[in-house]
Amino acid sequence: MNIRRFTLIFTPYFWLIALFLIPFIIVFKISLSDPALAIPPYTPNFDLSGGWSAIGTFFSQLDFENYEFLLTDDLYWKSYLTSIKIAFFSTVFTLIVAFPIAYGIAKAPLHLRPMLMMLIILPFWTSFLIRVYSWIGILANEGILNNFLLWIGIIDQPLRLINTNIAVYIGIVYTYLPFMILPIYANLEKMDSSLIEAAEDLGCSRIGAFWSITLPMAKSGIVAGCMLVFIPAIGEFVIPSLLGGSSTNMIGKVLWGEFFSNRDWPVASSVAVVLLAILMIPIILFQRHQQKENMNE
Amino acid sequence: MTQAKQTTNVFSPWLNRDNKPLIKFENITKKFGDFTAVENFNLEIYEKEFFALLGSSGGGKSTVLRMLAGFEQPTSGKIWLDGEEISNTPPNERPINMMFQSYALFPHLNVWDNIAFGLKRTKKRMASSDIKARVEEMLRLTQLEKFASRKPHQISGGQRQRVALARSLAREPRLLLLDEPLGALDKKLRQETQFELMDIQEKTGTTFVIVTHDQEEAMTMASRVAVMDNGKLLQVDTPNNVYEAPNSTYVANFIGDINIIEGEAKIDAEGLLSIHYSETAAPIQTENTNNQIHDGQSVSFAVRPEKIWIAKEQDVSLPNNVKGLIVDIAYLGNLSIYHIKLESGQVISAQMTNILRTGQQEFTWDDEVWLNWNDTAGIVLTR
Repeated sequence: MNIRRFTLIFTPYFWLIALFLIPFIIVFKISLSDPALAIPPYTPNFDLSGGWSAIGTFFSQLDFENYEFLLTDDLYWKSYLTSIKIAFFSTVFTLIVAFPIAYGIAKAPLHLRPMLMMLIILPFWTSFLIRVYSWIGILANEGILNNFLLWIGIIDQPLRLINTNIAVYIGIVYTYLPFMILPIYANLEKMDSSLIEAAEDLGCSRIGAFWSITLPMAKSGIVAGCMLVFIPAIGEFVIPSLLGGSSTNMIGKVLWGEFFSNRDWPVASSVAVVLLAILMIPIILFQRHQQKENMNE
Repeated sequence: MTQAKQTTNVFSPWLNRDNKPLIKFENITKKFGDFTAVENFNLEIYEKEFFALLGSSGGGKSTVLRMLAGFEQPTSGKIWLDGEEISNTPPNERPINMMFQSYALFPHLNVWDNIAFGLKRTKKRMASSDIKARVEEMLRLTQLEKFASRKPHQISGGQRQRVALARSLAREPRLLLLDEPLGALDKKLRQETQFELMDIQEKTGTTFVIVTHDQEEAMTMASRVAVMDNGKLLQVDTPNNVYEAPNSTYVANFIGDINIIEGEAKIDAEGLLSIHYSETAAPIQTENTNNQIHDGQSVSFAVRPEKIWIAKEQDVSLPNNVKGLIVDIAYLGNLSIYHIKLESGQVISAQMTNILRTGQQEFTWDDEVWLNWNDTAGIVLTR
């Protein structure tokens, strides 16, 4: 095998090994350790200088008690459930908002499409953190939205939006909207418009043609978009901590608390490993779906 | 007696004034913004016809088809189907189906479901056993039984074309529209499919309206041909009449090859027509079939290459004899096309069938030859 081919093939593997596998092994190892008042704050530490016997004691000190602990305290599994619930509903809301936008862009005149796409991508030019912060200004009791609603007289008391789950949903939908729009748009855009005409010709109403042709044809885009929103939304930390209240216990927040407030790295690591395991399920389902799609093409 | 029998045998419902047309276009105009796609269009299509709309691209023929399907509404005028106005009826409420140029097969459905698609959406709900029977009948008709469970991307172009046909015929439409149905097929397959289409049309008794830019296709399949250009209908007639008696130089040029010689018409005392096209050459003698030609009018004389006879010697028994020089020969196997430059400067093309298999071709480059043709060989056109 020549050097060129080897480099080409090995580079992505190197990337995965260096930036995913090794860090994961370290995290997994920490999750099997016990907390300690030391630097780093866990024990045992891997030490080659002690010879074979030291390595043996090292492995004998690793155990699964942190995982058992996650089961005893309901904070953890409740947070996982909350995260899944919030991620699920935000995905649904994002889909509801994104589909008409993607459809509208795909049906827009050809010369307008690049500009509309640009507008979708434009928010990425500003830091994600700043955009989430600005939602505080919008949703606060004295914020823009409440002031506006009070001014036009729809409400006479400010709505409590900030520090609620509603604010978290708004934040996630807003942040992940482009990830939903882009794959759906890519799907709808390459759809042959004569398919809709054919459906109408064969007896479908406009709405009937949408349900029996447009939607099934956009399925792979919808699935891809949902995965792109659902997976990062489960582990989301910034949005619930900035916009959510103390009652919004998403697993990202719990993990952060274990790491930085409790300085309990082993428990934090085990929370992270379990989260990864949970995320594997949709990722595997997604992969399977993609594979099936590819087989069909 | 024999005469009467003959006329009933030949399918020509348009000749009988008592016949009601299936489709009637009445002063149809269609505009897209400032652009007039179809202008003052009048046409009647009869039941069981295989009707071809022929024209170059952008001539308005697709717009006519799309108005029939219901995808476009006429800007003014009326479209009638069976005596009922359908100008603004949505496509799903017309008993008309269309076979799309791109076939528009639903990629997520297999062949069976593609064909059943329209049957599941009829106004009067069809029983699933009836749907099954109908789909199977369609699969048989188009010889697709083996491919029923395949997806569109798993079959060949020719098979896709047949699925599209089966799908559009499944609902037993009063009228089937075919938009360039053979455009995506290669030449050999196209010729086979032409005969298949004619066969299916005859078996099902459906009225077909086909849009094509391929004049051979239109001539082969159609009972009548409508030639369109720039949104206007130029001529509607049988393939034979459109070929032998075109009503304009555009139609003459569009259908097949033709020589057009421009000149001045002269009508002598006996009513015989001659066309003077050159100061030195003898005028062309031709039959006067067009009564509207008057003496001194400038006209075009059109004659098909196969109606000109090339000879080494002058043939005085024929009224037209012109001397020329062979400048080009195209050997096509079954026939050869000769380009002959007349002494007056015009280049005329003439065709000779290659009857002899062996031996030298009779004529070669730079031969001096005589072109002879009868006084009924050509036609005089005024526009």
